[in-house]
Amino acid sequence: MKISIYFLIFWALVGTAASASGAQEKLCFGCHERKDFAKAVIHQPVAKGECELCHNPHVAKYKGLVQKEVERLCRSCHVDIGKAVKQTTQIHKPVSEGNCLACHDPHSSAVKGLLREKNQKDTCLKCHEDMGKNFKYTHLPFSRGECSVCHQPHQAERLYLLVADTDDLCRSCHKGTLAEFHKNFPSKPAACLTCHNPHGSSRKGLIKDILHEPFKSGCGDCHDGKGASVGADKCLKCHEDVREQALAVHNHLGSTTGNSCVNCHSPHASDGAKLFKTRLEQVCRGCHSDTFKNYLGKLHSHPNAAECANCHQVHGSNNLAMLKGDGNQVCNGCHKTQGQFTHPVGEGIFDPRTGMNMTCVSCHYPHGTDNPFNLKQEGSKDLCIQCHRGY
Amino acid sequence: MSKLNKLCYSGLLTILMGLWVAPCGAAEVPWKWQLSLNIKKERQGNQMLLPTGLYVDKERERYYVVDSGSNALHSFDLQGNHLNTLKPGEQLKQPYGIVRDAQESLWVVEKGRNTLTQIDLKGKKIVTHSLKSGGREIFPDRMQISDGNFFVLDKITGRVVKFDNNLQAIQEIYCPDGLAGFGDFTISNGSILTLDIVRKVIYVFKSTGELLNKFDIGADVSFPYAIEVGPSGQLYVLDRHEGSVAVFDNVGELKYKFLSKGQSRGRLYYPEDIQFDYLGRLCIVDSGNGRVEIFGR
Repeated sequence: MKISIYFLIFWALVGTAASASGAQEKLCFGCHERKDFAKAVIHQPVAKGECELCHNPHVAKYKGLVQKEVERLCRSCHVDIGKAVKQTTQIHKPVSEGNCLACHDPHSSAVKGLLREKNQKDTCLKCHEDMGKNFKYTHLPFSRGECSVCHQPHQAERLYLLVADTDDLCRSCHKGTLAEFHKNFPSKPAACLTCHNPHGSSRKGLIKDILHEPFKSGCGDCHDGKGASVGADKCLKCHEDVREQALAVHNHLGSTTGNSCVNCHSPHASDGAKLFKTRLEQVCRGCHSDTFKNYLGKLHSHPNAAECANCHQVHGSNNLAMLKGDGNQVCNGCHKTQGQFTHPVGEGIFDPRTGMNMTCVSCHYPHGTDNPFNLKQEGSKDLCIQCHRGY
Repeated sequence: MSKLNKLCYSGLLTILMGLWVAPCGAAEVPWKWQLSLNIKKERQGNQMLLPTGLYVDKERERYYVVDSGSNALHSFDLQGNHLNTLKPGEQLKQPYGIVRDAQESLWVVEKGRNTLTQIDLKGKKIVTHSLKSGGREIFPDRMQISDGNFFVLDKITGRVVKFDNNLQAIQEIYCPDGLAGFGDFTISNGSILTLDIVRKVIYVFKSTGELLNKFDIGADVSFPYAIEVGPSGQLYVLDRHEGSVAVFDNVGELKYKFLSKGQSRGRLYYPEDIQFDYLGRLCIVDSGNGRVEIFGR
């Protein structure tokens, strides 16, 4: 008897829920065209008619009448992505900005993964426009638009969101052909990206467009032919100007690869005149991922914060944080009127907390904070009373 | 339920909650700010512009601070009073670190000259030494003297190079994981502890260079910059970007973290180095704030 009562209650509840979502669906599609939500791949809540899972039919604080901020809303179901992102340092920019809708259609799409564009390549190139240039020679996965063969879409342990270490990744397809194509290579072929552009190039073999001068004439200028690695001291013998900069208190001589120059530069070929391994932003991010992670998650950040070389002397500097000047000189380069009508800063104006000269960075964190104007603390009181204790 | 009973119950509940919460909370931080080494002068501000190195002189009961911003060496007593400023021959060029040897010479890493510079205070002589190892030019960074030998971090290779008292290289300690380099090291009880800043790994070597242990501290720090071993064997790691100190036990487990980024007393802004003085006090060269912060238990 008891069992049959429970059975009845269960089915009554299921029936109510089903009719509720059915009613929701009918009601919503009374105005919203059903066909717009019925492409080949349909988001599960849409397919189930559970519009209210994401939307409030009456009022909401957020655009599209969504229940929460888009990022929080998505992560409330896609918990695994949220967890993985928290545990990694390399995060795709739209993910770190919580902008899931940059790539995904929340309702339905013609493409797997609910991508917004008609395929994966178009979705990626929508932001990565420079990748879309017409190379004379292209890498097969790139020409097929199969970006995910090499890259993760959300987060990864590796730079460029790669699915594996670069050489391992290359070798996973180019098995057995490496020795054949590198007959006079002085050592075991490695560090593929120091010569090859993984997307495309105007040169055969996807060799990058700009060649290092000694590389043009062969290997002997730098390599001894015995397989020994080339140290940065060898680089500095030619690049004397860099040596001068590197003899600064704070410098980038620290090695992560056996040669501190190739932390950032490709010794053989590159797509830019300065022979950077990749875009400068990515080069810096390789070691300073924490800095990027910090400011990308803030409400207010400096415009062009990723243009690191605007403010920092990349080889070395005698200023704090390898800045090009002190905390005023660097900022004044762009913010020309600052210090003239704002809080006094500069020589002879002392920060009572430290006795140091007041500079812009006494009050601002230049990369970004959660406070307007990148202030270190809330600007109407908390920040000021650090020094002006009498108020 | 009477009002009194309600009060008793809620009081009991609060006590029980407190008893439960206490052991779950973070370990108590035993360090308290004690003093700052700086040279604040009325209407002249702080005379230290960019301190980068510290040497604690037990015999003279002094702290020596290198200020690379003004190319000067400053001495302080144990109470933090400024004693003297030395600008040897007005010729130091971006001094970075300092130690004193048994013969009472000061040895200064001069980054601007890429030398190890000997300052003979008695003889009033300054001698610069360019270091080499295996025919290669060394770019000195951190430095320590142990058993009469100089241990110098070669910034360009990230290796710790041991020199005898004639400044001949006799040993190199390098990262066993590929070609990566170290950003700091310290010597404690015959072991050499090194820090890989980018990979966030601490390596422990025997004095022979044989690897004893390594700890991945990546989950607990943002930008580990300097390492020191505390009096009880705990590992202290200075986080330059967070302005904090993370303390690990001798198997690399995080015990606690303390301090934060900022300018106020006890806060750090781009700190450079961490050391213990012979009184067991924790000294942090707080570069960005132009001072050395000293914490006691």
